[in-house]
Amino acid sequence: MDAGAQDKLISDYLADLRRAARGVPRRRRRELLSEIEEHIREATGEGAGEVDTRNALERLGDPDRIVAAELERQGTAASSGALEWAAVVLLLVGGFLAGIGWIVGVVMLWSSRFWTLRDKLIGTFLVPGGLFGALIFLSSRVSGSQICTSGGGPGRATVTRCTPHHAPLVSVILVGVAIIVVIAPIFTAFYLGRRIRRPVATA
Amino acid sequence: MAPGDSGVLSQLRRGVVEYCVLALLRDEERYGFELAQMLTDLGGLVTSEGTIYPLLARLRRDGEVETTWRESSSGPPRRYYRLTDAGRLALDEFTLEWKRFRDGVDQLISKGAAKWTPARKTS
Repeated sequence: MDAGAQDKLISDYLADLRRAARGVPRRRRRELLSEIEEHIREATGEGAGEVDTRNALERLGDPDRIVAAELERQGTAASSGALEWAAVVLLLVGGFLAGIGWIVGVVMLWSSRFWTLRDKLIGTFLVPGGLFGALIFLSSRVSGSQICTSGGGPGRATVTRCTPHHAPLVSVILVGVAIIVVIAPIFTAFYLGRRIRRPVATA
Repeated sequence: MAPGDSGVLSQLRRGVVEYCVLALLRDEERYGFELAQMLTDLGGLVTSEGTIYPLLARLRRDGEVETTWRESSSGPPRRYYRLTDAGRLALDEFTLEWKRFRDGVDQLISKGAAKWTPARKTS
């Protein structure tokens, strides 16, 4: 029998379980994973073939089901994720509420069990302040270094034209940075939203 | 949900399985894998063996079982579960309730309400 294929089956299963268990408190999640790992080791002792491994995993059941049982037995009915969505919105536009909204968003982000450490780092640093932070950044970049000319006349709207006072290459780079700085918080919001995992509530 | 598993059965199973775990631990300590196998093989009380670990964790938190690590002859140490006094009490209470429940249902299923006479007459 191909031991590599069996190891792959097992590690895939454990990875699925780890992903499904994102909403479980970290300590208990680690314990659960080691319990299941031990169970698999017991079930697939020396000389177990691929079929034995598949059977053992089938008897263990769907990782989502195990996690649903975990959340149910904890008595903490799976959080609906509503707070998490609020955090995503606050991170994106909360900065406009005197900057405080964004800070609240960060606190909510870090206190949620739905996201991994990596998610939280991305949420915090890409971009600090969210869209508000991006705006501040842009205005500080642009205002000091451009020449604005206003035109217009009777019966015509006033047109303000601003020309960055830079070499063309620098301008291109600045525009690129500006686009990235605005898109990044939006991307982060989508990313965090997608990573909100509502734990499955089934029997 | 396993095929052929009606909602009622799975609910019954879910309510009863923790007492079955306590009952399996009444006379000896056992480890998780062993418990999972027994529950699956004895009447299919568990349809997904992995769900026994969340249950055991809760029983431990509630103080109905306690655990010790023991060396195993094959491989790494195992975590053994043992009934506590509180667990024994919960099991005894359930055992009484269960007998009443089972007898009641059995009687209704086999004879309907034929033998039933009202305890007090209205009008």
